[in-house]
Amino acid sequence: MSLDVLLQATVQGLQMGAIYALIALSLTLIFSVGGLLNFAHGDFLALAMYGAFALYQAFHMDAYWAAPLLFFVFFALGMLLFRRLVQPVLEAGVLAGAQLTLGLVFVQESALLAVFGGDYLTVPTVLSNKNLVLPPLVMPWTLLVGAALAAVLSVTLYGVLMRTDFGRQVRAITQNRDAAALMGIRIQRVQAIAFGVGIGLLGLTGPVVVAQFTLSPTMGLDLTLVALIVMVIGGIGNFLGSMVGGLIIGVAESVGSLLYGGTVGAMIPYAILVFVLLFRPHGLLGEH
Amino acid sequence: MLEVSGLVAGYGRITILREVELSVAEGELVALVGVNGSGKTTLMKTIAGLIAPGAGQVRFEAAELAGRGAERAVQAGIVLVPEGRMVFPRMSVWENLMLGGVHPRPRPGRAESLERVFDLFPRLAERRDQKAATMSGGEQQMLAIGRGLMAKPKLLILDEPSLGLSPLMVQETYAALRRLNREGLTILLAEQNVKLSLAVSTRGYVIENGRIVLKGASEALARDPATRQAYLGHL
Amino acid sequence: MSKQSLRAAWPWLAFVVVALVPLALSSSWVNVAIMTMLFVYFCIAWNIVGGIAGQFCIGHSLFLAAGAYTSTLLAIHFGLTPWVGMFAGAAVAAVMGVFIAWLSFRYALPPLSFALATIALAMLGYLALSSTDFFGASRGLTLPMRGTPAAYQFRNDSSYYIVILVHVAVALGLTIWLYGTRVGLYLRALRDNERAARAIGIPVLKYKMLAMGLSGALMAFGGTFYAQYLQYVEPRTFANINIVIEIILFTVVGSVGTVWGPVVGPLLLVPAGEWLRHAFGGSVPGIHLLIYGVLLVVVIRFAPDGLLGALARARQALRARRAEKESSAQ
Repeated sequence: MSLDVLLQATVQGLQMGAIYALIALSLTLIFSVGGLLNFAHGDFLALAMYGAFALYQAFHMDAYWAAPLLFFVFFALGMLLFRRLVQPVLEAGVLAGAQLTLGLVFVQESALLAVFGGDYLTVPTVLSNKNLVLPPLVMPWTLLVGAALAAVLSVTLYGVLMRTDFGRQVRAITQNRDAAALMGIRIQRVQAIAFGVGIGLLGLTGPVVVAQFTLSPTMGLDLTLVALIVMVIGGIGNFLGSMVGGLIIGVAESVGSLLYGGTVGAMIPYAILVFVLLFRPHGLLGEH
Repeated sequence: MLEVSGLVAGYGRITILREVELSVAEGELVALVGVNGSGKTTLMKTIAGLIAPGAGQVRFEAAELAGRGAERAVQAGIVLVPEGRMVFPRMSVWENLMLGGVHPRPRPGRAESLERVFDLFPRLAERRDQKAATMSGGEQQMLAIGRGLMAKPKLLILDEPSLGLSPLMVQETYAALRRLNREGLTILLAEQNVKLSLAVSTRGYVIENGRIVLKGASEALARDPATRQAYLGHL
Repeated sequence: MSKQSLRAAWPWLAFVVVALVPLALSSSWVNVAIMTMLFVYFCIAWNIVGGIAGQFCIGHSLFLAAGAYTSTLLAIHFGLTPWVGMFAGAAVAAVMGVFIAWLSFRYALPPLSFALATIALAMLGYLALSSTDFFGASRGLTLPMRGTPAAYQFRNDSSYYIVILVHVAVALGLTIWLYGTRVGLYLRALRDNERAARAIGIPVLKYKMLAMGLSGALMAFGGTFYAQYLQYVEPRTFANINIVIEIILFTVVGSVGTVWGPVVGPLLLVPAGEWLRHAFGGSVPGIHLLIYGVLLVVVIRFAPDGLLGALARARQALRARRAEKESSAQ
């Protein structure tokens, strides 16, 4: 096997990894403020992709234009869901919360099936079928732009979390909820906004990366699993770790499929997950 | 300024406070003393809005705060520096202080508040970018008090500020409290360290099994045979 | 019969009556009844780990697949009847369960990590099954046609129904027995507070391994039954975690950690789902699943402790009100 092919796979993996990182970052954001393990995470992303499909079908709106629109729609949806559904259940315990999101998986998958049917769908964008050729690398523009936007968004979100009052409030709630309350922080409000931002980001991400995926109603769970793996590898609740973890999984999957074939490539992330859970419980980067 | 009456509170079905009466006037430094488990922390948390009482009133200035939550208490000007300090461990000193003043009421004056805190505790200024978890217990206590001051309290409540500190650090902490009180800040201090807290305060309350059993001028309380026997040992 | 034993017996009586009804119905409804009882059985099996012992395991598809594939492979390659093969499958699943319990204990996995680790193992199992030719890869395996009860194959569905009923009765009996014994007490102690359980000298590892082994073995028997009923095995039906998600949701709706919760949940939901499919499925595909999913979420929203939990709360409130009325009347 030539070095060029390996290089190609690595670069492609890094690009997918940037996308995974963003998905995991929003999962981590939601987890960190209330301990909610959102099993419906990938399904919200799938919903956003179908949203891009619907907007294209109905108005010939390009996915890149649909992205900002869906951000606001999903942000509002997230806030509403948190207030009316998630937060009351979360009070009964984080396990009940996780079970609720399993229910949401069911709802969303069947809603997509009912509205769009079970066929595989793709969404063309202005950049489809165009490649950037930088010998020896050939990169599809859709992936390049998707990865670049994901990277920009990840870094922006990270900056917001680390540098702004909102971000500090989020981290304060994660680190000591009672102390955060004593600062006069309105915990439920911050939680609702964080949930809204997390879901809103998926609304933004879905259309931007839609060209990389074949749409099917049940695609969400796989996406959730990838995000969970990345979150764990980065150290649960560690924002920087989620970003690095995304890149690791992207490259591992891409290079793994190249070297050992598709199935083993698909197994590698799960194997890494088991390894990390057992031997590095605070993540690959986390301190002991 | 603060008027607590008929307060009954606890956790779940367990009642800890039974009909507590307590008041603090503006400019006072009041001590609440009692042994471990007497209900000091529950009382402080209830006043600060972390615990919703089963019955009774927490009146602060004109507002009724009982059961209205911690945010409302901060809005009114009550700030609790909790037992065990509870600094945000994975954040820097500066970030901790910023969070102290994050509420909309104190937020506009954060820069000046920060200067005042650094003036009171120069060591915090030196450690500005250090992570809170890596600091000594005494420094964390300074940070916790500084963080409380960032919220521009009218009434600062401290729960066991001397707990686990070296004698030197205890002296330093109490010197700071005395200075704050002299500059006009009203302080309510819950302490196991009876001798010290009665020495700095003007008035005191003694709490036992969730009830106020004695109250009066600190000097008199410190001389009272009952207090002496129970809390200061036979001297 | 004393009042107390009558109270203990009535759920059983109700269950027997409900269970016998399908035998009098037309064959299409026997089909629904079989799937209902199969899920009742799966939920009872999962509840031992997920409810009684409080370990949020999402990897039970592994055990289901172990049962289905082991008995089927033994039937294909050695002509062994699944009546015997199912015990081999249960043994395989029990060993896997004990190993997972040991692993999670040895590396002190917190509850959330345990859930994630079991997902990962289940996905690894799924991917391995769907890519290995020996297991029929993604096409799966078809059982050799024998058509005799000795080969665990029946001509009419009522026989399958009776077989799964027996499974359910045994699993129910086991759960109730577990509740009554020291073992069940220890398992619940471990659910409520593992550290405290360890502190008072409960051998936590032993009971975790027992719960996982038992639950896994029961799952595997169900797997063999399912394979015999469908006459084939295939990874998407038998090894996908989707089926575990359904099992968990059914149990949650019933009431996790109770004896009758895992019975009530699927008993209501599986027929309800089928009815919705009949009523709405023809118009828009998937609409019945949507209604169904919304129903599930609504139940979880308003009764996070399940229907039985809500029922108990309602009864308590009623009793309190009645007591109040009595005292005020005096």
